Amino acid sequence: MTSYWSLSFLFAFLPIVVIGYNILPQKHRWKLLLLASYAFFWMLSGKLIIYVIAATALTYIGGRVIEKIQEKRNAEIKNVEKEEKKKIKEKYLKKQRIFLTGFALILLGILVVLKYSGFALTNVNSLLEIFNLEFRFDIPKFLMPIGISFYTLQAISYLIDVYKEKIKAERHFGKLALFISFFPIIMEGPICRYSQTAEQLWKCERTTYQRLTFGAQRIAFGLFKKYLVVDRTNGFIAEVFSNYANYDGGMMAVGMFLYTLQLYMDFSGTMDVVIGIGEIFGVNIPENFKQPFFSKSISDFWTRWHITLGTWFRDYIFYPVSLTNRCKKITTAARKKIGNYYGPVIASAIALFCVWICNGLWHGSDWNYIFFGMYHFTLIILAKLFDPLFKKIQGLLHINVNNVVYKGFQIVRTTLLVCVGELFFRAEGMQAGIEMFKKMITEFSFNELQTGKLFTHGLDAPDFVLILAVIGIIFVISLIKEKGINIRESIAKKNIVLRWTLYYALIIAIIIFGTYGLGYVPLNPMYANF
Amino acid sequence: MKNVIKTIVFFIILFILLVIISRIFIPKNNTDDAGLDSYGRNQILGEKDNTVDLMVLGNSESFTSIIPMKLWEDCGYTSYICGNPGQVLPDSMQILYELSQKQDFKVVVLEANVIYEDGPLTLPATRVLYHVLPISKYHDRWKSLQIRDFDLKEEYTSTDPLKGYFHRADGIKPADATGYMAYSDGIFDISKRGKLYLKIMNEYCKANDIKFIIMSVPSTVNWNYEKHNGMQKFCDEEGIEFIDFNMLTDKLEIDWNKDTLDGGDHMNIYGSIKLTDYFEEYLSENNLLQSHKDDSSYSKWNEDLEDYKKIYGEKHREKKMEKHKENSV
Repeated sequence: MTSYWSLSFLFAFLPIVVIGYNILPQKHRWKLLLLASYAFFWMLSGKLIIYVIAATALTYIGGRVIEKIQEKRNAEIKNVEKEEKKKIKEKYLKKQRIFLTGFALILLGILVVLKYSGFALTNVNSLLEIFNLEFRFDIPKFLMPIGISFYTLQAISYLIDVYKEKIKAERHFGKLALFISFFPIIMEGPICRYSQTAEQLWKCERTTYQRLTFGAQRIAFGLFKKYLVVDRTNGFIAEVFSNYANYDGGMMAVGMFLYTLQLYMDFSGTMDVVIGIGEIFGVNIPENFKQPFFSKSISDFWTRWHITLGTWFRDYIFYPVSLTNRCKKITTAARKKIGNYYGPVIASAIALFCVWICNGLWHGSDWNYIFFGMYHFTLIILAKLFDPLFKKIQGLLHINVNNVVYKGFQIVRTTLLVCVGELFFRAEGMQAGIEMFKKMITEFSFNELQTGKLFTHGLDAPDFVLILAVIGIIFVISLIKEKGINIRESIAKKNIVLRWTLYYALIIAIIIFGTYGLGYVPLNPMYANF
Repeated sequence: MKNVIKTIVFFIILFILLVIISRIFIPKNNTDDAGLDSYGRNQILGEKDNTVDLMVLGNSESFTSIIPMKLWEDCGYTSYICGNPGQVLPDSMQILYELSQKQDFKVVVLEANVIYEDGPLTLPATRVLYHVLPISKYHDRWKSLQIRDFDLKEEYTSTDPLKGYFHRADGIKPADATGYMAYSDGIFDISKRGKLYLKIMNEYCKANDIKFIIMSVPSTVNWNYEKHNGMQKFCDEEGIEFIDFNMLTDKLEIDWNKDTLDGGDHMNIYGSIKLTDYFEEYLSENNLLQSHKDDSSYSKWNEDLEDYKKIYGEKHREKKMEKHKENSV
């Protein structure tokens, strides 16, 4: 079993867990979910399960310690004057901060060592070479447990929420363990908040017929995306990105679009499966995508793509940084110098810079990921800086920004900008990304399409037609969802013939057009690598 | 209760739809472009029903083992090699079952190298799925479906004049036979799953009056004494005939400088001639097959023999000349 896509997971592991869950008395169901989660983790990462157990232990102890300090504080300020209360609160806040920082740094430190030490030391060695120094560091090669980038952030958010007294520390180690390692979310998120998800996890309501069917429909939709597009496009994308020197700019563009499509289908498809599984167990796992390619700006895009990562960075980096005294002082000073609009932009730029450095690095330890983060940071800041100018131009030219044509332009522009970012994201290094981008601009042609060679690199003409058809279907579904319509509920209200025809069409499409069986090598979930 | 019934009905209808769609997607012929997998071994489907008496199964070792056309020419025996590269034991079992529906085999020979290839645990389930719902195997044919596929009737027209024997077995690459079949009383045991599959095949053959033989083709790469001991032990316990050509290389005068295609991994035509000579005698002495030489309904086999001679006839003559020279000296 390698992922949520494997047949052994979908047709053996998951059904066994669902059946066992519904057979057990309600108060014991969460224990089965925990056991299943650890079994799932063990099957994927083996002995590396020690990392997730250690992270759980650190999170548990950290939460209890911070809460103990709060309890002590509460006891001390009970019958005390207001001025004295303030001093006591500050004293205990400092203590809490020390423990919060300590535990968060340990959690983060494990992630940093496993994920970034190789990259850091490689760059140190490069510097040593530049300075003609003999000494070199050995580059360590660590095995990373599955989902470490996800559960680490989830654990840190839990500690911060306990510190901020948004939630009470969990007294039961097992229940906290389930929150951190719940098998549908451990591999690729979403990054859940304790306050949203925890109670649902141990409420453990019986699986109703509706939950089962809705969950299965969502899972099937995820399989549709994965098996019709993700694996199908992989050969072509790998060929173009590995051998870009052999192809013209037209191929770079096709590779770029296909990769963006592949990434979206893979990640959102996985989320469909994950959310569908959650539904079966009565857990409303938060959405991670909201029609991202209908975004009208890069800022808008990041409220629609990998939503839980974006909100994590917003709540735990952007707001804390922008609300520091230093940032407030900078804002005040900047307002005086450059006005009320541009003043706050400077302060938010500092906070955004922190967010986007972290966002880039979270995805991987290489310069192209850092570039990816800085690329989006630059686009967002430029948009903010030029917004007054653009509004002026729109006024002068009498452009109706609510016009469908203008909205279409914004959507296409944003999609193109996102795709360029993904080109660098996927490229095999910074240099390759730059070369590919240059080729796309300076050597663009339709030659490969005109000569038919486009259909000889792993995708033939029928494959392209199928991909376009799937894009069309996803577009229509996204349009309906954008209007706020819940598609599954709408379908559920239709007559049985129409409903079942749609379900059969979905299942049969996966079976006929799916990339499985002889000659196909399934792609591992892409975001599981981050 | 209503929901349970609804679910059952949903899956029954889905199953029916998939069965119907499978009929469309199943290749309707066994020609190269029809989409049937393992093109080589499927040529037997083009033969008339109940005309092939002996079948050889196995991986690539099988199709440089005995020569069906030599068996025909010398003895009038009809045989076919239904091995394919990378065949695993569950596949051998399935082929035996499927082809037994079309041919009345008297002898089935399993080349031993395949016995050590169980395949993954999920393989039997996959094969059952392929059998019950062929759409799961042939779904990729959506790109190449034609009008004739909607006819739903299979018509296999392609046959192989060499009856599954390798078409390019005339190369020579000498083998280093140092240490080959060095004596050992150690046992390299067959896996539990392998034994299970073999027992099932043996029982199936017994129930259908088929003589089941396990054969090991000479190979300096794939065989050793420990494997011989393990196989012999199992066959003795199960009452299965085991012909280990690796123990007969002296008798057969296997020359590792001339009789191997690729440095000892596979036999070539010269090696196969020697194996087939021995096998013919074995089959005759044990009255396992009858000659169809005088049966006019097998005239196509004589036509195929001519094609075979065009490819390998020269090699047979070379061997006869060699033998004649040796006998004269």
